[in-house]
Amino acid sequence: MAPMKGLTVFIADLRKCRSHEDEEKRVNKELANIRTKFKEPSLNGYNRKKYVCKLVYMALLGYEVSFGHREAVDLVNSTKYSEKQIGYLAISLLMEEDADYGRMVVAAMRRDIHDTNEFNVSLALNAVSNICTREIAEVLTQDIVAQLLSPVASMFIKKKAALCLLRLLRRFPEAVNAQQWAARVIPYLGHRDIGVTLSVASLVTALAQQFPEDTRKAASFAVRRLKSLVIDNEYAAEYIYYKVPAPWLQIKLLRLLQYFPAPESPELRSLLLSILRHIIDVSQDTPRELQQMNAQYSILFEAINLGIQLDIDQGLMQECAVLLGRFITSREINVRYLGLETMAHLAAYIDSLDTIKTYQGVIIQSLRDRDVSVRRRALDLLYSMCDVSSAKTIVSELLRHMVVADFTLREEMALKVAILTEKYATEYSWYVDVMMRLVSLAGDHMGDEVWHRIVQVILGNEELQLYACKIALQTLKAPVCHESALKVSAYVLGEFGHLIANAPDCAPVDQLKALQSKMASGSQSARAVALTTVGKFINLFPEIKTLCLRVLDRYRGALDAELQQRACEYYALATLESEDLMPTVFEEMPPFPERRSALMSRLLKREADTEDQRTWVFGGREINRERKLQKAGKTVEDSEEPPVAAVPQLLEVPEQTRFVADGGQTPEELARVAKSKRHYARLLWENDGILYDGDEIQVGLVAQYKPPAGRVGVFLGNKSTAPIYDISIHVACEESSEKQLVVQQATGQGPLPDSLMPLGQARVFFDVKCIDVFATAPTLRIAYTMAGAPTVSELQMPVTIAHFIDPVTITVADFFSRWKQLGDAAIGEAQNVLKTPFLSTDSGAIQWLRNVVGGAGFALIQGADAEPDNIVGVGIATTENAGRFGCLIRVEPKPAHGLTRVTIRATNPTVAKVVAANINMVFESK
Amino acid sequence: MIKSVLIFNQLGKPRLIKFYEQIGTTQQQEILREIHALVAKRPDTQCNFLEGCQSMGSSSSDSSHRIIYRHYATLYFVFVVDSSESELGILDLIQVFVEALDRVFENVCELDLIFHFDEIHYILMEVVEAGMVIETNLTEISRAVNEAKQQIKPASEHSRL
Repeated sequence: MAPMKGLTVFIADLRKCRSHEDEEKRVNKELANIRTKFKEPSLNGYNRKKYVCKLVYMALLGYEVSFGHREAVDLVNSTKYSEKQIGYLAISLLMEEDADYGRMVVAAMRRDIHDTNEFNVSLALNAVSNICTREIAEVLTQDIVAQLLSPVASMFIKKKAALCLLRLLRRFPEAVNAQQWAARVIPYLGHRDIGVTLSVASLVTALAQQFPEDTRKAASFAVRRLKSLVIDNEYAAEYIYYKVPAPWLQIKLLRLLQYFPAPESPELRSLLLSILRHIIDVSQDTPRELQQMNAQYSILFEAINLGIQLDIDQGLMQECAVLLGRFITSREINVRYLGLETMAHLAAYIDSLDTIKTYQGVIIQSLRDRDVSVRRRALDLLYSMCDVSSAKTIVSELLRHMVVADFTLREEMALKVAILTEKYATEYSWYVDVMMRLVSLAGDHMGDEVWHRIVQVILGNEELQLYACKIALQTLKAPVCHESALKVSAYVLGEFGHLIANAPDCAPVDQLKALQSKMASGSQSARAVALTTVGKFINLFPEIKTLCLRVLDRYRGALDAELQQRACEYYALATLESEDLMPTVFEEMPPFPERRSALMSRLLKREADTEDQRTWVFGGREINRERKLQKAGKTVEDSEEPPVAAVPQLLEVPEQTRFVADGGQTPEELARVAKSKRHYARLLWENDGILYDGDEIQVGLVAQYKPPAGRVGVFLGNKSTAPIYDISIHVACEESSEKQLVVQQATGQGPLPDSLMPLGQARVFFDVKCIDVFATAPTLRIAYTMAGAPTVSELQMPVTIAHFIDPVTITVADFFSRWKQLGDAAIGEAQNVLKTPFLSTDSGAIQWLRNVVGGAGFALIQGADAEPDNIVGVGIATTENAGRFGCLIRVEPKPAHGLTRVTIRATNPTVAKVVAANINMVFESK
Repeated sequence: MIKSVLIFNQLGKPRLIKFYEQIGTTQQQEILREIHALVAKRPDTQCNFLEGCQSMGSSSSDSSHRIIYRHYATLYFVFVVDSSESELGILDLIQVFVEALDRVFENVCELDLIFHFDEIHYILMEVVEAGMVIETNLTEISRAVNEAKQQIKPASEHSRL
């Protein structure tokens, strides 16, 4: 770049500044100067560029730059490359997504994307992936897809277009219509240019997670491409990185394959196996050069991850375990780190842990590594490889290490120790001992979940209670007692203190004294727990009532409101004349209902935040197995079931819906109704989505129609923190439609589970068949019991006669003759003028209208209408017994008035009416 | 996905800040400071991977953000990535990026980065786009950067006229 003198001087000035204040002064002076300059009408391009560049530099140094965006946009619109380049850079770095000047950039971007100079195209694509607003996604996606698929665009542009799309897809998945182009992108995985393949592989990886069905072909492309790289050595020489061919592409492809089930075709399977084998064999010798080793091993680690994921050959995996064993003792620290990490992955899946266990000593050693990163990985691995036989050793090692572990690591360690102990405890005393030590050691560094969970476990296991009481009392009597230990002990004695009351030194009065001795030094929350215990003592041991009352009395004057309230209330309860209330209030707690431990949820939550879905989790071999089974089940049922794969994300969809049925009057409830209406409306033109999203449950729908039949999957997710029981899911048709629409539970699926754990999901498939034209949508009835309270939800199910419409393509001339014919015959016509204010504000509105009409089952007839924005479509509804009914639609948007006229003409009046009502609803809830 | 690319010197002075997600300037500087503090205290004998950048969001010791870095002379090159990236792959990518800088600037040093802070972005653009690696072939990277430079020449001469 030709240097700009003023800029160089400015940077040099700043470098000369001795103190931060000097620098700030210089920056402020320059900011003032630039502000004035920007006001000059005669500012030329060169100077504008220079000043914008200075602003970018100031932003780099951390100064807030709140102006200059307009000038940056001016630069983008310049015809000079140097100005355009800086303009785009400034926008990418300075602009915020919600800024209103975004609109001005979109036009420039679009122009540049179609420019003949590919460097301008490249700048624009890059800017799109940096700024990426919804508007950009809606307006430019098609142009970018065209660049990627264009036969004339260069490799340089294609690879950028691919990543640009990836960004748009991740940011606004609903705006890019990925399903329309996903399938056409996949063949590029076989492209000879490695840069293009690499970018496309990233894009396909994201697509594969969203549309596993549409992208299934990608697996075979990826395997073949890997073969050409790994086995056939087909690649351009420039892509060899320290003797390793295109390591990034190899890694990407190996990772992409982890999102698919193992290939079914024996040919692909054996091909994949030989690729993995080849990679592992090559890595048997340690490369001399560091860079080569990095590249080589990065591929190996990914290959092992894939091998584990596909569960393709246990023998091979055992071999990997040995190889990894070598790595974790490596002198090269990076290799050690990754060896531990990959071994943790392996341990979470492999059938036999024997090989890994031989390295247990080394791994425990790694807990003491000098490098905290390595220590962390060692912890993960120990957690992952733990089983019944090794639990005691590992847990005691972890506890021993806890004292010296980094503070940042302790919370996670505590969590993991708690989970392992609970999972693998074979003796009650061991569980109690370990947990008590844990709370004493790590108390400050762990969440409340841990001590809550201990109490839950003790409440739920009668056999534990006596021993737990003994230990609790011992803990309280010890000279020092940690805060969390105090809470657990107090809670346990309050519940079960009577179990040990007859033992020596354990009399009620001893228990109370022990408690009192630690109460004084406890924190507010610990004292609150202890006060409740005192209250419970009154109920448990009437003989020490006076002593207890004295304690409560003292706290009645506590400064802390919570303590004061508890003390006052308990005191009042205990001194009440009626004696029934006390035993009821302080009754023994019932056992906690079994559900997924809060510890586990917490651990899983920590790992959930990434762009790509994780293909596995540490430890939790059961969880991984379950996932895998789900995955396998999916492919087996594939042939007969609609794509269920979109469903695992169901619970993550951010939109909220509520009942259609419960129409309340409060604003909150009205909002609920509006929301659920939106969801229903969406399912009128899209096949899958959420139907209802409440506090407790979420209901998702996946539908596939082959008129006159169809299959609708209903997915019920438990969003609450408690399990739900007695689940039933039924569909009922209105009496008037009973004979016209038949809905039956599909055969060949298992029964609904008895209960659904938090975050759990159940599903039922229904076969629907349209016998004759019907007017009303059926009702979905979901009943369940939560926390003892039965709940029934009734939802309108988006299954209408319009769902049995298939697109038909006819010529423009045919369309008009039929349109006229139907108009003359006047069998069924419905016309509405709908308010569509979004037409004027949303530039993607027309495209959206097209999507809606297309999604509702109509073939769009291009060029039929003189007005290009008008949409005409043709569809045909099929019924089992009453034959087929043609249906024509014409949508005429009038952005100037914010209105849209929708006309439907069909050979059946009900069809016309229902289609019109559906479209009406969709527009209304836009 | 690569969340961010940072270059700073031993004192923590930024030489390049690039985020692939929308993050405000203040938070960017905070992240830079935190990462500098984490990285600068680690001797070169320790591994190149690190986690626990709290200002990047989520809970402490969040395992989904990894800091992968290399230390060259006076500069630290840091990539912050999520768990879907291969650590060694990114480590190699840093090497590619540095080699690309070296080709374009011929023996790159910190001063080049200071006075050509915009050009670093253009080079990075050819290596990483939208948080994904886009090109690893050094010949292709420097070709793209140099040809883009050619675009400027006529225009800038023109502007001096």
